[in-house]
Amino acid sequence: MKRIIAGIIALLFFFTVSIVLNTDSQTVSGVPRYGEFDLSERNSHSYVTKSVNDTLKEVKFGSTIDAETGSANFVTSIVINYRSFDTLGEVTVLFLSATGVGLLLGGDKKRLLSPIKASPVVKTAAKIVSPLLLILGAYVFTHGHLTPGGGFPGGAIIAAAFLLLVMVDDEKRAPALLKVLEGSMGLAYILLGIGGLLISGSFLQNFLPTGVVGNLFSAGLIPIVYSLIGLKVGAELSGIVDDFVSEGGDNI
Amino acid sequence: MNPVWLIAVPLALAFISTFANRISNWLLFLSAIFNAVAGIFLSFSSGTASYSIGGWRSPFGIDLIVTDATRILLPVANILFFFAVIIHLSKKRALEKFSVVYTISLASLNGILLTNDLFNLFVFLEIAGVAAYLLAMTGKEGESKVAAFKYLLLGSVGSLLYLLGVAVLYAAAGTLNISAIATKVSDGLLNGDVMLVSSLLMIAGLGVESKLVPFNGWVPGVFTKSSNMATLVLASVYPVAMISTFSRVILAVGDRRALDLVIVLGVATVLIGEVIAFKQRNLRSTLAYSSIAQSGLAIFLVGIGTVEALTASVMLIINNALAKFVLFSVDSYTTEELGADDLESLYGLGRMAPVAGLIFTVSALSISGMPLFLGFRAKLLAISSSFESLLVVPIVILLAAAIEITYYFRWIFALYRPYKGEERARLSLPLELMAIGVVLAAILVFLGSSSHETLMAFSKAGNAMVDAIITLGKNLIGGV
Amino acid sequence: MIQYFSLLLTAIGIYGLLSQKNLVKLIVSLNIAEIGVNLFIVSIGYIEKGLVPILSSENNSSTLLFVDPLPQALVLTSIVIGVGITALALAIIVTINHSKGTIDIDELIERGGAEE
Repeated sequence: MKRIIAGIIALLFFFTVSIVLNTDSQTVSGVPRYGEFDLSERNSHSYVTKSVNDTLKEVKFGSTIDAETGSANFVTSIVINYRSFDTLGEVTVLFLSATGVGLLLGGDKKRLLSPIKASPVVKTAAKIVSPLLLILGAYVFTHGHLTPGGGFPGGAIIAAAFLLLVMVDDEKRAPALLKVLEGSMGLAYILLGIGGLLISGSFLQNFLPTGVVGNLFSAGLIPIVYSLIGLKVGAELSGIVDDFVSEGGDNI
Repeated sequence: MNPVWLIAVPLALAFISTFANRISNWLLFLSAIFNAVAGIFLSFSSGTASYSIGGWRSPFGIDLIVTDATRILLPVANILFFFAVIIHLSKKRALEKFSVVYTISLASLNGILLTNDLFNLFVFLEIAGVAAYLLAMTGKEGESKVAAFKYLLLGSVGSLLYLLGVAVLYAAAGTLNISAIATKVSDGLLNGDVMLVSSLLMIAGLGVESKLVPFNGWVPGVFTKSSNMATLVLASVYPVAMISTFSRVILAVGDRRALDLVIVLGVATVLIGEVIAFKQRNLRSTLAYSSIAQSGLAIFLVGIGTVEALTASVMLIINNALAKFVLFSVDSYTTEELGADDLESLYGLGRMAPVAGLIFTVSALSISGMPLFLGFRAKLLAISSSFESLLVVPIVILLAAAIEITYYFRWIFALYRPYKGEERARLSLPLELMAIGVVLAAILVFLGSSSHETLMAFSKAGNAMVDAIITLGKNLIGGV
Repeated sequence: MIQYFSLLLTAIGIYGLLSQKNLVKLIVSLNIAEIGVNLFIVSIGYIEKGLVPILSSENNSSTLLFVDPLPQALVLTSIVIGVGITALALAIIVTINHSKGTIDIDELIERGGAEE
């Protein structure tokens, strides 16, 4: 009986929301047909042509100097520059969740032992692969303004390297440095924001020159912020992994 | 001053406390003081002001908006939070490892009150939500974890639906700025179906935190089982931000037909809340269900949508915040000292602790709407503006008010009845609680019995709730 | 078509949330619903024949037709928030299991006493 009601509610939801699809027309604007709309009707047109504050000019890879955000990856320029406040909030949510997991589960010195012992082959291979994973993660978050990815996937890859080591080695615990790294990276992000407020007049405004579009050292604050975020997310997720394999529980 | 300091400072202090664990309580105290003072500064100017973040002009960037309504609600929320911190700072056990969570919840509540962007509101709602789930876990028994889990599920589903509503609205309008969308809505540029569905989804999303029926299944468990300071913050500071944001967003981007649904849900919430509160035998549960009913009262007025109704709604929010602060504080104090808070245990409390009895009585009378208190003015205005819609609405509200008066008077009389057991020693409230309780009760009396001019601020706030966001949108030059 | 599919995924997730009894399965259903919503948001940004929104040596001018990058930025944020909530929820489940010995929601409500 319960399943039938649940199914009816789910179907009701599906049909209610699907009436809004394909509703665009000449007089009133609705949700456009999949793949058919004019980008110039949306705010994103100015994000792509980098013309929010300047006039419309063509931005070319490798030759335009001092463009508005300077980053070749448009998604990165939105995440770190145009809508940087959202990213600050997202970093805070992850920080709160990691704190919560630490309060609930963490703090014990002993570790849960895995029921299957890894063979020496796997252990050795893991010790070779995990530094490569760390390098890959660092590459992803430093090149966030040139390639897809950025701070969050980069941090996740770093945490995956830590997870690999935790899975093969029963003694592995997170170093105490991780908590300090997490807090200081978050603090650095807000200090950069306050710096923007004091130097340029708005919170989180970019106050470094943006260089040539497409170089590694370009786009002002963006690579710096993404590196901070990458390290912070990596430290946080590694901390969460560590809390889950520790023996503590019911610590509140 | 730029209101972004109200958000940036608590966040910065919260990040510092991760590697300086011993001083995290003091950092919480520091951020609470800073926010209370900054909030008061914000209320000195008037009019609508918009501050851009990141240097990008609205609607391309995110902006913070300060209206006449914000100038009342923001200082109240910050100052109440500060009072809560003062009362509980001396009790080490209550705060302990949770000061970081309280600091971040302060930052997120300010963000919710200030932001003018739909997706930014989603992010701040998530921060406030996760902080609330963590605060709900602070109770002593294992049941608080189950209540917190239920809260987490309901809250996550709610924000999921809200996000879907925002996505649908973005696909149609092309922007995420509330003022820009409000301008488009009022000019009739958006498809009716899109607006209706997105309003429904956003009502569902924002309604979970605002305790609307049928999304309020989490309230009784969380309010009765979490620790004293957590319940205080969740019951008196959180509703100020959540209900006023519900009003602001639904009025700005909501469909007119959806407002009728809001009236129905609000009235249902009031009725169900009062009826269940009437049957409760201990004070904490009574206050929890009464909070649900007060939210319903403030929200159905949003559905009516006139300036008068919104003025009443702001007054009800403030009344609820101040009175519930005192009521919950007195209740948690007596539970600690006497061990229980059912009807018989509280007999004679009025004689054992006269100040506690006095402030409890004043707050209870104000919530139930007795003359001489702020609650009377608020309820009177609410009932008179409810005549705009069907006749059944004011009838139900009056019925609910009658039920409310009955059970609050039952509790007030219980305080002054003679105690049936052995003689109990006189209790004395801690100094902070006494001082703060007297101040808040005095404010309730002052606002309730002063001349009409002092309530001009509330009318300006009501006006701002209805108009300010759209006016800002129309004044934007070159917006999309 | 993909928009209908993503809404169907969300509906499946909502069905799971309403009908499952095991706490871990509830979190899985929540994740499925979140995936559905994220997919829907990304599908709003697609333009026919649009390019990936990154300037590179092949697509080197901003006057070319790119897909809308804003929904992708929104989904980035939403995915991370979902991860945070899932981690917290799983930690709460571990704690509940320690203290109550069960992770069946009906048994927990029975044992918790009538709070509704």
